[in-house]
Amino acid sequence: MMRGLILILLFPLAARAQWIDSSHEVFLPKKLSQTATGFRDYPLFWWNFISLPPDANADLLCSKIYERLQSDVLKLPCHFDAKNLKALTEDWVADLPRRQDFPEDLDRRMGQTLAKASLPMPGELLPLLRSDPLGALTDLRARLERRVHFTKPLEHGTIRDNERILIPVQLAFSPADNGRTRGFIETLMNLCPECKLFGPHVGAWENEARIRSDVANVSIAGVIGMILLAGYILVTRRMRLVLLLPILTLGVYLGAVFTVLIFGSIHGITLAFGPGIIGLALDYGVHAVFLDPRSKHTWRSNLAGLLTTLAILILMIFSQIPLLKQMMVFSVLGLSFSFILFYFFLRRWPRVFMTKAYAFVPGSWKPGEWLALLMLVACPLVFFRPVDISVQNMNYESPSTIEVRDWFAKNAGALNPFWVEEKGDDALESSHATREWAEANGLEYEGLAASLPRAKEQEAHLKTWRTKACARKPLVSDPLKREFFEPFLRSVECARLEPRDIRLFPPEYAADFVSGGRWVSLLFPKNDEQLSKLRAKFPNAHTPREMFEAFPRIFMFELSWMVPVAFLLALGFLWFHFGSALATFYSIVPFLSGLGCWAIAAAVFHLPLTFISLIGLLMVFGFSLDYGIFVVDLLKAKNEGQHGVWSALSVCSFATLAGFAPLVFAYHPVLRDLGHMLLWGSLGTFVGTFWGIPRLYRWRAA
Amino acid sequence: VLSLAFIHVFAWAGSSSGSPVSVEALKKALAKYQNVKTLDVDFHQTKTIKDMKGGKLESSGHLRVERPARVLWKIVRPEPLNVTLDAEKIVITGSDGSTETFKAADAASPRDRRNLEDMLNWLKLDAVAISSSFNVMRLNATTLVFEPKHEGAAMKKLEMSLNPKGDVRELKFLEASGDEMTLSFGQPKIARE
Repeated sequence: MMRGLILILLFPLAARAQWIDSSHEVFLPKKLSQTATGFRDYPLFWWNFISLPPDANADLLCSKIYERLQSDVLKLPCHFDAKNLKALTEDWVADLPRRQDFPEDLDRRMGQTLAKASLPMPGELLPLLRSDPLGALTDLRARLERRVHFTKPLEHGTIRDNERILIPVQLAFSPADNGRTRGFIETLMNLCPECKLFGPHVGAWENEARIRSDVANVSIAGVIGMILLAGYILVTRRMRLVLLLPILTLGVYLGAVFTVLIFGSIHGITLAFGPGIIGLALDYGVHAVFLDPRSKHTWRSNLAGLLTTLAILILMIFSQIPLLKQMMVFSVLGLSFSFILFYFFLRRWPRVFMTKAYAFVPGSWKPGEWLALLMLVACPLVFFRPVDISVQNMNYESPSTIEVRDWFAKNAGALNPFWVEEKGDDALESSHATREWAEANGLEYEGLAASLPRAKEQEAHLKTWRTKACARKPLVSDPLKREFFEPFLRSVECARLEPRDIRLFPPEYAADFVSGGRWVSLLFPKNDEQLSKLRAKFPNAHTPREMFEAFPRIFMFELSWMVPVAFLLALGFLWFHFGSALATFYSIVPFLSGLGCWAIAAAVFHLPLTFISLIGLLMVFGFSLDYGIFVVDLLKAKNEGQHGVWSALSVCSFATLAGFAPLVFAYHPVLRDLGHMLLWGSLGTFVGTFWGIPRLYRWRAA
Repeated sequence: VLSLAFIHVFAWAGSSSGSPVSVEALKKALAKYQNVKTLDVDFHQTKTIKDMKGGKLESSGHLRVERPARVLWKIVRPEPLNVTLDAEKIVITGSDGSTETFKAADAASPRDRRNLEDMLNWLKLDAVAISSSFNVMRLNATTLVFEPKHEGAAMKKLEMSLNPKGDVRELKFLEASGDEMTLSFGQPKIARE
């Protein structure tokens, strides 16, 4: 309660800082978002790629990245440096007694390492030799490179062809950390302005930056639209209409406040959608002030319009896409609060608001009527447009990112392993079971079990070390060896010879496979037989690609029930309101012409029909019914010449268009697709309202 | 001759005093090693590690150079270890037969690759190539100092002492880490082409 009060009072100030969200996960259904987050949090997923022209000095850039961005980089294969992998190598060496029995030839092998150490070498290699007399690190680099599984072998730590050089780099932080990603990208771009990037970090950052920029652009365009509307009202001397704006603003403001109370925050895109809601909500006020605000008939039409719109919007609240859910809640609240406030103020002080209608009746204007008919005829074209429900339509990628991604997929794409989530309570045992199954069935395995034996096996190895290290006699008698190999001897002290508890001390060398205590293993099936065995054994195992590709099915499912239910609900309500099938049909003419208008625009401008455009279509359906109801009520009352309704509709058309049109200036596909559907759908709706319904009505009457 | 010593070649912190040595002068100083087919020499090596209180790493063995570009560095003491180098790879073989191979093409670090290139120049004792990578100075009649021109090398400085016959007698390395290494050579046996 208190939070709500504070929120209401301080919203304008506090919203920017705390309650405005700009994450791009809001586009993804909860399950997809969790999946994406699940993958995203494993360091294995933190590989990004820097693309350079083929003649660029990749060596120099690698050195610069290593020098300037060392703290941001986990692994940089083009600049392999043991010093940078200190924690990882130390852990690997320290676990030697857990992987192997005590070597009886330890003294000889130490001597051999001393011989190696006497050679000239970079300073950072000597500490490694001092901690690793048994050469445990020899195969570590190869092991690390195997985890990435590029289809093209690395050449000097890079992927090359005549077209470009690609530098793989594993960052040291999650893609969720957009602030750090921004810092990394900015520094990198200073080092290499001609570089292009792609990968999970770059994708997340690019989406968020795009959203921020789009929201700013859409907001500015929305405000300009509203100023133009206010200007139109002032120039046409309908000053009292301006009095509706504070009421409307209060209604939409309360809608935003309650949206924050429900969701904990409001997304920038939802707020950018505000002008559209203002345009819609204005309908009821304008309709009332141009007619008689005291008339029950006016408010009955308004209520019918509101309820049909709300029915569709409420239906879409059940969408699995959080952004849509939030937008719809915001719309429902904004429209409802505005309606209630309008009803209260306009009924209470009708004389203050009553406005003289414009002397405008669309009448029988032939070009308009033909246009409406053309749109009605064109609406079946929608069924000939392929529906693109790829999840990629939820994701913004810049042209340069698309270019590099396509090249990578064609030339060097990483293999697509299956991720098997191991049991949390005993991930080591579970990983070994997965590994044994993989070996028995000829699948390649990567994971914790490839590096660390079972606890029982560790114990067996450790026992052989304890007999030496826990004896009174020093493990090594030669003072020179004792001094030189002191780091190694410290790591195998008697007290440290215990099996590793991975829950408390997850090994650094296996950090790629762990996130928040959850472990994954990777399996690489080579043929269909192995694939079917894998699916039978691990039904919950998925490749990242497979998981993302599954989501179009969710979208289809959502549409398959939402569209028919929306239509049935609205049609049932209209039939209830009019008591006539014909009047019900007339009232959906604006929607059908809106649909036709979009179909024509889509054919001309090659607009895709995506999941989001279909959602936009449902919204068009919802608000187009308002206009249908107003006009059919007017025509049924044989009042076509009455100026009030047409005046209201013309102002509302302007307001709605001004609210939705800015969305088409967005670059993010979600906003852009929604914007196009709402813009063209609204435009067609108005043509159908002004000239479509009256023309059909007159034909019927004739 | 002493190519192995240059697997990781050398950066420069400060400048040594002495007069600069031209390419021609370097060619003259290394004249004994021109037209060599094979060269055999015993060595003794001492490495002083800054972080170790008193211990010094000592090793000894035999070096064989086969022109144009193959070197066998055979350590006999403290433990047998063979290191074979050519233009493409380094192979380290232990007394138990275990081998580790480092291919130049696999070297990811630009520094490692550059060092291998330098090493090849030393294998050939190519005075022109060495001069292009190192500043060469003469400290006295029998001592030359080499300073790498490029940054990021593992060594700061190398000092080469020649005996009056023109044989390399001793090499002293000062590594960037502060460790020092001295290589002393016996009487070389040279077979000419």
